[in-house]
Amino acid sequence: MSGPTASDYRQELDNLARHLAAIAAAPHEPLTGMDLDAATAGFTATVQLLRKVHFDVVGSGPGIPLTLSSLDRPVPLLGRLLRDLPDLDHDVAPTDLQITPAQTATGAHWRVVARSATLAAHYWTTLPQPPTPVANAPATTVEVVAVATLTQALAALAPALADHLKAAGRLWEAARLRTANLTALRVVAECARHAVTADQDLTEAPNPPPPRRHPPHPVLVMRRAEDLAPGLHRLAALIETSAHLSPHHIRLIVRATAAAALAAVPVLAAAGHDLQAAALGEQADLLLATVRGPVRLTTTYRGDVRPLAQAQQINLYLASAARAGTVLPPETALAIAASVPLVTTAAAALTQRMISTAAWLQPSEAAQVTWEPTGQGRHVPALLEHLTAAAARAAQSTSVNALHLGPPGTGRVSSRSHLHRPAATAPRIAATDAEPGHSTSVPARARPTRPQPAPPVLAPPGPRPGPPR
Amino acid sequence: MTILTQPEPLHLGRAAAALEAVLTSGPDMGLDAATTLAVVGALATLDDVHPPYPPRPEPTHPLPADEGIPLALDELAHAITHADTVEHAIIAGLAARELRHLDARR
Repeated sequence: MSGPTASDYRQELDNLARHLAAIAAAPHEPLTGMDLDAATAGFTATVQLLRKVHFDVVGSGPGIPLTLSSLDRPVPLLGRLLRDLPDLDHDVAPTDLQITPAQTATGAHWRVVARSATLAAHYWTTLPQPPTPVANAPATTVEVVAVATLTQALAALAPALADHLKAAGRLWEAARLRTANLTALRVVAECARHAVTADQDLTEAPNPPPPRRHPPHPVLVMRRAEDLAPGLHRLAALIETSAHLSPHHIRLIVRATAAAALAAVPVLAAAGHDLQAAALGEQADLLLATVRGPVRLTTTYRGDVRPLAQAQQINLYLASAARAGTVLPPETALAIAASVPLVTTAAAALTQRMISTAAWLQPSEAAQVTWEPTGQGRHVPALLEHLTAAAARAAQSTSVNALHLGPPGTGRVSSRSHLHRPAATAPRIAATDAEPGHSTSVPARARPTRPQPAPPVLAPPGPRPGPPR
Repeated sequence: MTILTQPEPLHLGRAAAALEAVLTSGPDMGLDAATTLAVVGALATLDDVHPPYPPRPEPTHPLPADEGIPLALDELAHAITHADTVEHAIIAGLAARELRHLDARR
């Protein structure tokens, strides 16, 4: 009788992925009782599987410093973060878990996840040799992409699981999950997935980008509302020092910038900074038009992932602030108004450079089903048109922010703005990426920003960047 | 010059096409700022693959958000069921999650 095969392992891994994806795609529903035990068992079994496969394929590697400068080596960093993830407690035997009927569809999916992750780990451990390469890719590539992609899913599901645990009174496990560097895990897993796939040789791809100029800045962690403007400044600096970015990443960067602007506009208006509110509102509209327009651009290179990581920090902070009902202080909204034009200008300049140097691809004019390099003589992509318009408006916004430094009500910034308290009716940060189950219809009472656990992997918001240029 | 691409799975392509059609609509068809951000997030998740997919045809007509988003969610559910790789399944799930967040906000 033969032992497990690579096919058995892959079958369970695919099954695991499909059910994790189904959980991610499912509408929110509360998890209690055995369904919650199934979720903790499934989460832990998956983490243990990913740790094992990562270790076997990548090795323990050298010590990875706890800073996002390690984003140059996201694959070993991913292993470090996986090792740091908690093993959640569950007192139910796996067999009991499987025979107990699920109360919810999500609970049923988590049962399959627990079973498939356990079986996949068993098959992986007992395989005589690593699984066969798939589609001519090296086995290590396939396995690392799978580990990174499944980790992305776990990182996306973990906040909701922590909420379920907290609601069930399992505060210790909820806290362990909440303090487990989830935002870093999400960013690093995404970077690892791209790092591995970008290493695949696209031999006919055009114009290899020049060696990356390493920006001196690490990605800033967003812990408080006051970190948003420095985060936007840092985002602009990271874009400016990037040799290559993907058009999809530019779109996500513009999206995060638009979300920050949209969060600040009502605060500015409520605080009487009418001119800044109007200027930032126009900026937000132009940024929304940019992301709404067809991209129809792509690239064969991963490029620098730091700007995307910074944009995700901003997006994730805005989402958590929306869940917590955090009110942006007016001075923060003003700082955001001053920072958004910097990102817009940097993104427009980089987009112009990518297109003019044929670093990106756009649909072939002869045959719209293939790509060809951007560049001279081609029509200007809509993304660049919109971003150029937004950058032109950004220049005017910078003038507005520079000229109007006076008390609220006149459109000028108060010199005593640090004394300005958020009004009880001040608008809250608009949800941009809220987890299911987090209602944004919070009471109107202003609440202080909740300090977030300090993720050690990301650099703290150290010295603040200088004032807007 | 040939650019190496990978074929886009059928249901992922359909979901992306529906979302792109939603983005060509306007506020009168339910495309507010929150919807735009969610749809863009989902599309960026779907498109962030390497090697890239071939270019998609441009949307021929706009789709209202309340039609296009359920349609995309339905296609993403099929994409998960029929995914042939771990990456395609998880991409579909994460894209759907971006759209589900929109439900949570309303």
